[in-house]
Amino acid sequence: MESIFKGLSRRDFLKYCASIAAMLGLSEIYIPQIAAALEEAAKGKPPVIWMQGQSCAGCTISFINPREPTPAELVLDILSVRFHPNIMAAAGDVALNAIETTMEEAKGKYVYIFEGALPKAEGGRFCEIGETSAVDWVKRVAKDAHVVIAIGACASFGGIPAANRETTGASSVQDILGTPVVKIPGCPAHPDWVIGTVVKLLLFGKDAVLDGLDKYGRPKEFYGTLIHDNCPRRHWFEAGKFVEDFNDPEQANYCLLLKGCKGPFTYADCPKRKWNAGTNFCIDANAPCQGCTQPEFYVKFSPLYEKLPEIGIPGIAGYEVSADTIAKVLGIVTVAGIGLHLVGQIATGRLGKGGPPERGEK
Amino acid sequence: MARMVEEHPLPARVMHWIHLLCMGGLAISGWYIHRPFFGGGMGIMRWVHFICMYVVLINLVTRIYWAFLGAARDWHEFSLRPRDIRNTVKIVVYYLFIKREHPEVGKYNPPQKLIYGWLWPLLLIFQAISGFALYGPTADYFAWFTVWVGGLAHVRLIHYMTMWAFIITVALHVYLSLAEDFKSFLYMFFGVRPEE
Repeated sequence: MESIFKGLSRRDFLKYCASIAAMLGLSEIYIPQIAAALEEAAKGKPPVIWMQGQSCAGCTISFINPREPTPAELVLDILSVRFHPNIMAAAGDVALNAIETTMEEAKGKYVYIFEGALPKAEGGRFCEIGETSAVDWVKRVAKDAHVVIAIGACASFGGIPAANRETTGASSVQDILGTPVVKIPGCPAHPDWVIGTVVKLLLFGKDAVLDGLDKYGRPKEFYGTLIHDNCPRRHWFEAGKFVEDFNDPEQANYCLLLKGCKGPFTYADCPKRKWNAGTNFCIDANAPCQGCTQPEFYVKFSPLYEKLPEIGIPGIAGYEVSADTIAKVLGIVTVAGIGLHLVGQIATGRLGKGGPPERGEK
Repeated sequence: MARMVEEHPLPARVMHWIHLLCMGGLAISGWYIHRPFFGGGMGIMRWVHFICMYVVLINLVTRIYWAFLGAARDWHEFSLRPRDIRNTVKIVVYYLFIKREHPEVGKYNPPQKLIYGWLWPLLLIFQAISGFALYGPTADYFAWFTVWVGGLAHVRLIHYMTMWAFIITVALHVYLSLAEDFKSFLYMFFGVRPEE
């Protein structure tokens, strides 16, 4: 039987549906339903407007990363992506008109995906799409959208552009809209997280997606477990073996906690799902987790290779010291103070004989 | 010498021992959790940390209850009064060896009142809140604290720096009680009446 999806056999299509069921943690009995939903969706082709603000397009690159069968191909065939800055053929007025047409034709039905942070300083002129600021676009397009999905750390929480937000005023989509949105953070977002959320939206509807969000607005299916609890190096943590020197081959596979691993703070299913079509993920590649799915990322997790954040010295802009340095300085001052006082006490012959006068003696 | 019995009654001494043991256990196990210095002890150290944490909190509540409603209530010894401003100057002058005679300032001098009666209980409550925020990072009870300080990494930083605040003030406390007033040290620990 020929699939409605070009170049994809029925067998491959059902395999893909099975992988989606596994991705969402659903039972196999849902496979026919998924297939039906995808086929139904493909007929109606829910329109998608995908826009980018202050972004590196990394989430798009991640999203169109190949897999067998390629999720990008499949989802781009299922969904009708009316506007996407990187992968659309149109340019100029034709492209911008596609947004306007979609907003009119599919009012209240289109899915609005936003990637990247939104600079709100100086009227939003740090990021403009078609001579209109990205902030104004988001406010206008999100108004009539069926669902607004923020993809990547920047759109979800501000991410790297918000690390020095005084300059551009980089904000998340939720900061601009003032209403909760579905967030798929990550730097970049995992393609499974994006596809899984979209398929869940097609399968179970908007309310199911919104009900399944955690307190930061992330789908619980993907962001429900702590990296540290599923880490393949967890046994080294328990055994007290830590990487202290990246150049020592003996330590190569030890726990990365002391090298600033943010796994104990970070909720995502990377250790189980893995990246690049299930090949690897940060910790398996000897890199500490940077906590890219958390609201703290980037600035509140920096320095990324230190265990604790650093403390700014008031009055000296841009100069930060580690907690251990402060503790050492305070410790030395205390010991020096005690030493000086002890010398004074011995010199005055007061050692051990001081203290308040006995009460009641007077 | 019978009057000295009223200085540190037995309940106060017992609570002081419990507090010392627990704070020692908390500092050592907390340091291990921060940076394990031998292998394989994470489970035990976390267990020690949590047990000591609960005991020290119960001890704190008991001490506060005892200070206000106990048989030998001593809350008034820690309350700050206007004359403490003058007494602070006197005690600093004494500690800097400018004056030889210890001034008459009551059971505790103003810096002692501040540290024992205010700083340590407040730091302990603060440490408990930040500790619970780390203990249940997905729970909602102390999420407001995590949000307030800007994320779990900063909660950990604050928890760690507060430990240093404890270590430094305890170092001063131990030094002064040993070098300045050895008889009160003996009495607080062993209930021994100093010979004169």
